[in-house]
Amino acid sequence: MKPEELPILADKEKALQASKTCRLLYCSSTACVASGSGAVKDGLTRALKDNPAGKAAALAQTGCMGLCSHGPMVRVEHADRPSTLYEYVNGEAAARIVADELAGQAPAAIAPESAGRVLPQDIPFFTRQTKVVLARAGVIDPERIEDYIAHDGYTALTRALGMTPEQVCDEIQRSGLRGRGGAGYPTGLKWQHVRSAAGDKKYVVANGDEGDPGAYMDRTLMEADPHSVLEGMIIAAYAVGAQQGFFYVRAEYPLAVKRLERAIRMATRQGLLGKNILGSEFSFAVDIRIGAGAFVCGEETALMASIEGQRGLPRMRPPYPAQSGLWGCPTLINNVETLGAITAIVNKGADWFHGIGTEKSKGTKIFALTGKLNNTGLIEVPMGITLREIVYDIGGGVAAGRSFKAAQTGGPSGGCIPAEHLDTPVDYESLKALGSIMGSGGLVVMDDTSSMPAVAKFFMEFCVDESCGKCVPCRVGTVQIQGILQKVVDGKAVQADIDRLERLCVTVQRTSLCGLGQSAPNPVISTLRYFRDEYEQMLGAAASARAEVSA
Amino acid sequence: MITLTIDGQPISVTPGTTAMDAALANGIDIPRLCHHPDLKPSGGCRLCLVEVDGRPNPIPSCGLACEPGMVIRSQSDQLTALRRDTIDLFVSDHPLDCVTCDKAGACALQKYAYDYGITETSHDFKLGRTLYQNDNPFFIRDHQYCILCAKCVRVCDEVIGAHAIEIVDRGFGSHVATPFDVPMADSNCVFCGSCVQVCPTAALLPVSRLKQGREWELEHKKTICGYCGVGCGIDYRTKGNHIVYAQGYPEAPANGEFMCVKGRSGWDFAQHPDRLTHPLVRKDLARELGLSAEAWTLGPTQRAALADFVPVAWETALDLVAAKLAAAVKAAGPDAVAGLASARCVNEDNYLFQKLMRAAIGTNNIDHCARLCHASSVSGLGMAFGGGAMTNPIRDIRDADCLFVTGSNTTESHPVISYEMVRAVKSGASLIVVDPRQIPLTEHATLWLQTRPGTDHFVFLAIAHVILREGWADRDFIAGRTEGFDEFAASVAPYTPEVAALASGVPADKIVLAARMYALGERARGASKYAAESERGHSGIFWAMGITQRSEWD
Ligand SMILES: Cc1cc2nc3c(=O)[nH]c(=O)nc-3n(C[C@H](O)[C@H](O)[C@H](O)COP(=O)(O)O)c2cc1C
Ligand code: FES
Repeated sequence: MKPEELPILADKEKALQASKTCRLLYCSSTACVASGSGAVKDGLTRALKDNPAGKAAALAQTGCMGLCSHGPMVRVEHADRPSTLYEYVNGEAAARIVADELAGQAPAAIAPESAGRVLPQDIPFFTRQTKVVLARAGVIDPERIEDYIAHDGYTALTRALGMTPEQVCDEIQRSGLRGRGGAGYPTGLKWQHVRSAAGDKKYVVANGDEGDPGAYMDRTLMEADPHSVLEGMIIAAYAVGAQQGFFYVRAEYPLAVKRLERAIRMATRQGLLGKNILGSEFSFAVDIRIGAGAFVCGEETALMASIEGQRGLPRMRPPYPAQSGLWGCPTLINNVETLGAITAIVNKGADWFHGIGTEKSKGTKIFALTGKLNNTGLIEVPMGITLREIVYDIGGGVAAGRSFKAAQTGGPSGGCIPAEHLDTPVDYESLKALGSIMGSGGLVVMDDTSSMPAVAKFFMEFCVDESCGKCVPCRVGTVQIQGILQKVVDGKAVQADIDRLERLCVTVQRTSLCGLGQSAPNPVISTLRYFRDEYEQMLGAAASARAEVSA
Repeated sequence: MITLTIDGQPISVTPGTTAMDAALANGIDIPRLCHHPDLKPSGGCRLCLVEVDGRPNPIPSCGLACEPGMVIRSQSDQLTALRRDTIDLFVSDHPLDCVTCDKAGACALQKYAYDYGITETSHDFKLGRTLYQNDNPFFIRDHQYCILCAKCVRVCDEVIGAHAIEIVDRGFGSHVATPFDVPMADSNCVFCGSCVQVCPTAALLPVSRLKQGREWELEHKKTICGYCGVGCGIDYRTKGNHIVYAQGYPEAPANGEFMCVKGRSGWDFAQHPDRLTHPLVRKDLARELGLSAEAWTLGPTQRAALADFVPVAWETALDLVAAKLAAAVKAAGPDAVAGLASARCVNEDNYLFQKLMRAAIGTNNIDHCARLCHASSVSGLGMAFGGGAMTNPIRDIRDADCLFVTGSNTTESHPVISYEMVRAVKSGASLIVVDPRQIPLTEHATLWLQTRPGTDHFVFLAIAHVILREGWADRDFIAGRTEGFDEFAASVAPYTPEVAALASGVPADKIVLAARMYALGERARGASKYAAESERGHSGIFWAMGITQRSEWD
């Protein structure tokens, strides 16, 4: 296709959508599928078929609408009035929604938490968010490229192809975008490194391994808007001079894989991928590689070994992938959320993106908000928002009337942040200063019933299971740390064990080969920093001493 | 050259050298368990951490590329503390059985525990691996001693090219295994024993070594392997005139530490009871001459086989041979006697033998078993290069950019040479194999030209044809060193790739590709070691008996 054909395709799709009386969108992302969106789809389909006005309405699937704990979700869009969002929808409720919507009736008020209730869209959960990367998530049908194109899809690519690769790198660098995979390395700078690295053959890798327990930002993005990640990747390839790209997605994400496969196929068919993209000189092909579900395979060097067909083990850096990556060639590796931000930056400009966020952390970040909150789900917020706003405004406060104890960010590589730091702005530097990290975007809220040594032990067990075993501090050290934490939790530890624990944590942190081992002690170190009293109260000697006093 | 400082000592190295190699080359010993000079850095043991000015954290020196002006410290209180903690973790997962361990005295972990004063672990002792495997006659695998340095896996992969073992499972449960845990003999293992050689602990030990004494009781007897022409150095560890096990040693010019199964394990003949250690005379002759028998114990199989012989003293035997030879010369002249020598004997013995024939007996009737295999190459090489032997040292092979192998099943016939080839390929060299058979090297080949048997010369002629046609030949070099080149060029003119393809069954485009790769020394990947000195890569031709013993030429 030629660039000028793109708006024609977009207009055609827009006209098609406008010709419908209304559009019924049901979420077909993994969380809603799990809570029964299959039955919702059947219910909607049947009701539309049985209704004489059904033909004039459109039914489409979308990706995640955000408030996963209230799924399955359905949204009904009208040309002339605001959309209506329904929560906890089931088959029966679907029929009622169709009947009401086609008849133009306002939905009847029903009891909270009952099926098919209307969920107001002006609640802080929605209004406090800023959707940049997820702008199309829950809005478009992820399996139809036409829908993506009707929502400005591939316009950023057209624009980028009109710039020089250097200009594209510059634009990204000026935007201040930093890697969303955890380390927060400036994306534009990384692109420049790959661009200027010697070699004709270069690769781009989209890291969709997403191994943090409880995190599902990347999966959701790939499921809800696969083309935006793909488009970001094509732009990246153009900017760095790569000919081949790989999506690395874990095998536990079959829906994401299916949608990416489809997106690649559709984009190739439209000439947006493959030889001479949009009639230009630039050619780029993309393949998918499926990971076997090892956390360490999200680490860039292990990931590349895995793509090469070897055992997914990290290796020492330097050389960095930008110098010597896949098969020894310069390789750009970015997280899928990082790539998901590219189209907006190219379309709206670096300055616009630079205007969101804090001094050193620009743009928005997606978090998988979980734990003891009233509202859990997937949120996108501007950098610099405070934890308090996330927990109390967006999350609706701690559930069941309990009180807030800590927020865990960064998953097994992160730390716990106590109540006294709730007003900390969420950005790379502030979280690091508190002994945690931004990480990939897992955010677990714990209430006063959580035992912090037990939380630390949970994450350490994860690291023990996921350590690749290559270097001794991580392989053996994590097992020993876990052993001590078990003793603590069992009430059998003594003060000397805590001392050994602290020393061991520092050794593992300082001597491990890759980020997994280097960050594995973080949950222990941060809970010791803020909740040491909990550890001490659990000491065997202290426990028996207390028993004596009370006797 | 770049200059940096390690432990206050100014050091100059070539760019790309690691801090570890720079230190070792300058007599600075950095503790290390997973480093091996012949293997790529792994970075798993974390003992080699050093401090670098301007870097916040200690860095493993085995993976640290030297940079100009770097200031490195290999010793400090911080490093000592970190190393102690690391060794502490190692020994929490490794029995400290040193008093009964066969490896004691040669164990690297024991050495560092000693150096850093670690007597026991401060952690809970927990073994990640406990398997004991003795599924083959050559070596045992005792996993409790394994420290997962992965040197065995890496040597099998990077040097031998057998890929017989890998680390399976992960984390604390990681262990070294064959695919699907099949017995060693059913795997790709070629039993070269290189894994045993590089193992720093008692996890891999030769069967012959088990319970045969402490390391320090064994003597070193260095010699050259007699099996093939590679000439590998072997260090026999002996005790009381008995070989306990064989090992390679880094200074051995041909092979370094690596050997093949024959060199490493094929020495049992030396102390086999069936070995002939006495001269023997036929019984009837001995009776006729009235020779007296020496007291001599025969091996079990010899007793039957040698029933017709009588052992005699060396003096008696030599007198008998001398008398018989003298009688033959007297009766029919020196040319009635002929001698045939063997490549199994050392050069010096062969020299003396021909001296005996020529000077003492007075005949030129002396020949050698290499007549069969080597005569054609001696004359061919002599004519082409002025000497009838290999043109380059074996160690050059690893630095070649393009290897052209034909008429040689190197992996089986000269395994140690094949290791060098594998190393070259693993570091990016291209490999062209011309052979009708799918020899093991084809697995590593960039290009395999499978000729019909007996048609390889068509391919060679066509390659020469293409090189000349495309102007890839180095005309100056040729002009300075050859004569009769134009006749040669004319002789290959008819042999186009298409003609060769018809005769040999190798597609013409593959022949052209091979010609280009060989002529230009094209690598499969990576930069040539010779990039600075020449535009073209360096190619090597490797052939053996499949070429020298070919007889037809049509
Ligand atoms: C143990 C470990 C796991 C990781 N897992 C992921 C992951 O699942 N997804 C990801 O994008 N990055 C992951 N990373 C970070 C990557 O190594 C790499 O920094 C990132 O993909 C770069 O992309 P970015 O610059 O866009 O963030 C992981 C790092 C470590 C040490
Ligand atoms: S020798 Fe460098 S990490 Fe083992």
